[in-house]
Parts: sequence; C-alpha cells; structure tokens
Amino acid sequence: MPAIFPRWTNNIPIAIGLLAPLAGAGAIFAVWYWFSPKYTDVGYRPEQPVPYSHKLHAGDMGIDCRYCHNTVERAAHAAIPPTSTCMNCHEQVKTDSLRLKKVRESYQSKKPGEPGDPIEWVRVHQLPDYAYFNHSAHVGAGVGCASCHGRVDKMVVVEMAQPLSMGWCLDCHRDPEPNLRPLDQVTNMDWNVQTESYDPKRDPKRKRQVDPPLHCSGCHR
Amino acid sequence: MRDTKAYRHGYWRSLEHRAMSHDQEADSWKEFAPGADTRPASSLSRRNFLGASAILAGATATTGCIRKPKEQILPFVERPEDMIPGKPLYYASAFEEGGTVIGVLVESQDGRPTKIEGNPRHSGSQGAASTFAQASVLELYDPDRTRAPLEGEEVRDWTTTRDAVSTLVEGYAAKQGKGLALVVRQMLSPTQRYQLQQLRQRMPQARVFVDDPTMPAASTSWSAVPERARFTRWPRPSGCSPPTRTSWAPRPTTSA
Repeated sequence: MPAIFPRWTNNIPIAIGLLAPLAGAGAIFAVWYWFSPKYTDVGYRPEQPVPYSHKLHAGDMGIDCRYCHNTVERAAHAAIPPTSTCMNCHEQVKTDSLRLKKVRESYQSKKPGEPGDPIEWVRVHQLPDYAYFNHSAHVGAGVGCASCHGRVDKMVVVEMAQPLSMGWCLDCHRDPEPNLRPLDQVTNMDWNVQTESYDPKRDPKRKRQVDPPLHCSGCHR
Repeated sequence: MRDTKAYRHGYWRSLEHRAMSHDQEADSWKEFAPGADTRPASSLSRRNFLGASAILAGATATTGCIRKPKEQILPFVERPEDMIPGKPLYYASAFEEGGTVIGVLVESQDGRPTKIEGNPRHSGSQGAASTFAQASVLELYDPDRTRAPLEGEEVRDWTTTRDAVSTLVEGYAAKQGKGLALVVRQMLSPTQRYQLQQLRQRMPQARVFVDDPTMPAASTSWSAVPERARFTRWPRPSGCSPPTRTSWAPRPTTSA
C-alpha cells in the first residue's frame, strides 16, 4: 500500500513546534515594542504654524517658562499663551521678521472692536480624556518642568520627551522623591535631579509632604 | 390563491396576513413571501465578505500603534484679564424675583454662564438661590435657543429684523400707541421703569400689563382670581419722573 503523504510531512509537527513559539514571541514583542507609547509618542514633533524656538527664548535668552505658560501654577492647564504675550516683546523686537508674519496677522483685528484670529498651534502633549492631569498640583509639589517635558530649552521644535503612559506616571507616583526638587527650582532647566542632593523631607519650605495618589480614581475620575 | 398583501412586510404581522397567505393548492400557510428562502444574487460573495472582515479587523487592531489624532490648540489673541483657561470665573450678580432681589453668583466657563447659585457673602441670600434664580441661567445662555431672528420658520438677518421692528414701532407711534399692548414682568429696575415711562409718554394710548406669578400679591390674594383678571393695568403716567413704589404697585382688587 503506497503512502498517502510523502515522507517529508513527518517534519511538519516538529517545524510547528519550533516556529509557533517563535511566532508567538514575535507577536508579543511587536505589541510590546511598536504599540508602546515609548515608540508611538516619544519624539513626536509636529510642525507648528509659527517656527517658535524654545531653544532661543527659554534657553539662550533665559525667559522663565511661566512668563508665557503663566497659568501653570493655578490651573490644570499650562495654557498656550495668547498672541498678545508674543506681541509684548515683538511689537518692539523683530517687527518685520517673516517668521512672525502669522503672529502679527493674528494680532491684527479684522473687525473694529474684535480681536484677530488665534494662531492654530498643534498640540504636542495629549493625554486621553479619561486621564485627569493637573499641572498646578505637580508644580506645587516640586516636580520640575524638565522631568516630564525634557530639556525644552534645548529644543528648537518642541517634541515629546517622555511617553506619558500610565506605567510611566505610576513609576513616579510610587516613588516621587527622586523627581522632586526645591520649590523655587521647578522651572530651572539646569537643575539636575540626578546629581543634586536634595531631601524633600528636610526642606523647611515645604508645607506638607508629597503623597501622590496610587488608586485608580486618582487620575481616572 | 395566495394574496400578495400578506407579504407586504416580508412576513406575517397579523392573523389577517396569515389568513390571506393560505395556499389552497398545497392546503397550507406560507409564512414568508415567495422567494424569501432563496439567496439573493449579490456582488458580495461569502469569500469576499470574509476577506473584507479580515481587513477590517486588522485595521482595527493596528490603530493601537498609530498616534492619537492631530489636535489643535487655539489660544486667545488677547486673554481677558483674570481669566485662566479651564477655570471658571464667578460673577456676583442679582436676580429679581417676587418684588425682591436675590444676591447670586454666576459661574462662567470659558465665557459661558453655566450655573447660578446664591452668593454666600450676600446678606440676603446667604448662599441660597430659588428655583427661579437657578433656572434663569437659561435666560443667559441656552444652546437650544435660536441663534438668529425667525419670521415664522424663516431665518432673517439682524438688519432686516431691526428695520421690521422699527417700522412696527413707528406705525404704533403714529397712532399714539393705539392697539399696542405690552405684557411685562414686574420690574424693580429704575432704568427699565424709566424706559417704560418714556414709551408711555410717546404712545399714551398703549397699554402695559404686568403679569408675574412670582409677585407676592399674585401668590396670595390673586390665586383665586381667574387667569385673565391677573393682568393689571399699568398706572397712567403722571409726569416725566419714574413712578413711585406705590403708584407702581398692582391693584389686586380689579375684579376680585
């Protein structure tokens, strides 16, 4: 009686046994690596309508973060500054720069008594709607701007420096002390949490100790 | 002989349909229309359908590793003073009701009034507000309210509307206000009363009625009075000065 299947088919179970774990591991790796915010979000650098350079303004000229993002200590949002903030200086400085054309156009009133059209900035840091985040709470606790936003003073075009994923948030919420700094150094980009020795428990300027929430409804309200 | 009316909806919906669908030749009822049990000729074969489902499922799965949609931030050109985006502003105001005034706080989110509550620092209300005061937030901002003037169902622009209203007013002014009647709420505002006084001077024949169920008089002695009799004549103007409190007060004994 002749064989129905040729001899090489005997190797199929062995091949499946070897390849299936590899395929499974590959699938797990693919999701772990390519689906992670570390891959999808870090380095996200959209083109902005106005080529505003944080390196020039915050880095070289040393303007404090809070000059423009002035609601950061009082509100959940660190608001994008209104056009009038740009024009505080640029009514005097670089008044005919081509790069500032959109800023001047935005500041110009289209109808008498009405402001012009806002500049359409592209959002860089975008949390999902089901996650609550409050800037004022973090700044008040002494988490530096650079801890989450990276060295913005070295970015010509702003990009995401951290994944802003839930695991990343929880890493710090479980052990916040390595990321805390003196309350007057929050906006200081050069203050290095790794090299400076600072103990928030011995800081007399702190009114209370930092106790970040770890329960679900702390952020998913 | 089966009646096609029985299958108007594709299947029986009543006993009448069932009766109509009796097939005398086969001596039986057929629930579904002829041809309902054969597969309709379609361009989407089973094989294509499964292929399309697979592509759809794959696309759904991969959206996980695509970045969130691009979002724009449009800041103010000039941010109003004291305004912090994302934080409400509270304005102390007053609400007029039943011949008195309630001190209220109006919560404003991004320039839109969203809540009216009593002002805790107002000695009269001490943080409480009536249902009327709370509901009056819809007088300030109501997304369901029409955004443009309507004539019947037709949308009109503001210039046309202003012209039409002023033509109407001029017409009544020429007739000394004859045929014109205004129904107003009780008003404590001296400015409003003065404006009304001016209107009455210009159109002496016009009639002004007060109808306000929140007035104390309306809620007590008027409750037994029929609806129509609740309207009260506005007192005749006695001069250019705004009416005094007494002359303004309604006369509850008109028909009761």
